[in-house]
Amino acid sequence: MPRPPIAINNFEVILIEMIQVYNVSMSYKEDIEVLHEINFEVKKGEFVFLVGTSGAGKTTILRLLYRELVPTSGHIVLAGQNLSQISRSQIPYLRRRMGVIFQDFKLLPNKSVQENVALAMKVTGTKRPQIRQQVDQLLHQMSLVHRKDALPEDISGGEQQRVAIARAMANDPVVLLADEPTGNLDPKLSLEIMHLFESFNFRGTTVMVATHDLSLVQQLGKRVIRIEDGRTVED
Amino acid sequence: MWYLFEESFSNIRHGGFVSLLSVMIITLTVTIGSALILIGNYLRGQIEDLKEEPAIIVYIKDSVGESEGREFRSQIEKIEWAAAVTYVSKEQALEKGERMFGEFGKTLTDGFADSNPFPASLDIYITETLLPPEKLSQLVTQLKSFPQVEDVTHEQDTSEFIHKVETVLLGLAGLMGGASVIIVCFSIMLTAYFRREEIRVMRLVGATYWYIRVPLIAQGVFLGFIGSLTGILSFYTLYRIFVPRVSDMQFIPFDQLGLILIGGVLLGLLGSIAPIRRYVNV
Repeated sequence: MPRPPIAINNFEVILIEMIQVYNVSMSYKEDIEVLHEINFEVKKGEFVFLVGTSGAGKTTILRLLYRELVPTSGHIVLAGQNLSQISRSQIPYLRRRMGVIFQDFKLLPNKSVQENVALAMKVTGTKRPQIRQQVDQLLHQMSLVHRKDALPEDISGGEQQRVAIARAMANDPVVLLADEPTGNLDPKLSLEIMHLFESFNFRGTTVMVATHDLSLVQQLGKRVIRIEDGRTVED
Repeated sequence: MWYLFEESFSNIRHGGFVSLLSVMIITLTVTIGSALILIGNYLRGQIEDLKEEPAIIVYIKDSVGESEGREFRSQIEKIEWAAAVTYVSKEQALEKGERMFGEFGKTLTDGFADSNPFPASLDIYITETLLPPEKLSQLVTQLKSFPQVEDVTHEQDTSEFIHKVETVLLGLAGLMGGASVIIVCFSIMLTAYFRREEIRVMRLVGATYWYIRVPLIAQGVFLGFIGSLTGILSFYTLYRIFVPRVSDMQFIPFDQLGLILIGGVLLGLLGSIAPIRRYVNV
């Protein structure tokens, strides 16, 4: 059984493993185990698909990675930090180094497209001119400049998806986690989104995409971690 | 800083009726608090006047001679709370009566040339500005038990009334203060509840606990500030309308107004320490 390494903060450059999951089990209630002794490692700069049917435990793994949940047993080390050992006050700083694209996007309905993207930078205390510059650049990259003042309800599902991606990339994260990012998109748009992720990955961001779309996974030919009934069945 | 203002105002705007209710209740508290201070100031003035007058007057029987009366005075002086005791002879009492009745005084005292009806007395000034009423009654009973004493009069009614008014007003101000804190607390909790999804997203993208908490605290402080300012203005209006008709009470001085304003802000601050942890802990 591999042992978790000692957490090393602020020495990211020497890290080879970006995500390390050791014997992680997770139960929401005492008798219902959602994950059972999951083990995998993701190297810095890798692109990984987390696949499995609905309810297999993919979303739970991602929620454990961004520390919304704490495993019942086992350890998760992310960018050198053991997530079981970090204090509640350290969690925001961990999340600032990650970009998360949620299955339901989690866009704020009363804020415009550019305000939603800016939110991730605003909470870190970034100065306004810097936020404006980065947001403009991201909106341009996501072809959303013409929609920047629109509210989420006034744009299409594909556009909402791109807003969520832009927000996730706003702080130049070291890890990008995406939960079913192509859930409601047509195959062409889905592939476009994947190419976007590839471009982020090419620039050094470690990418983990949870999906049940196997055809998309096959088209890209990346590493696959398969989860079934809360267990790792293939890596 | 800009974020703080932006978020606080947005919270207040979204709070709608509850924000308005918070401001109204603080306004009411500050108005009642100001009335308490105004009455308190007036009562303190009255107490100062009372201080000039003897708290207890012991009338001595006519059968008791002057030397005996002065001896009695030394006896009374030994009693606890008796700060000073003055012996007023029958002649001095007559002069006092003459002064009291002004232009008719002379006519009056001329009539009493042969038999002076004014009794000699001991004017007792007490150590405490206001003795507790029960202590005062006790002291009066003690004085009445002396054989030289004809009668005893004292300021019991005034002191009792002042104590009662102070207690009622303090109780009322306490209740209003408590209600203000609860309403502001409710307003902040409601804001956190309405914005729970937004707070959750902010937490998930890396907002710290205090990044979310500080605008909510500022919201409470702002509600407190606006409420107390409105309260002072309302009270000033009421003062201008009613007080000159019934009394010559002076309006609250500026330093006390400053304290009232700080008090209102503190009520808002206390209310902002609402239990919102469950919405923030994501």
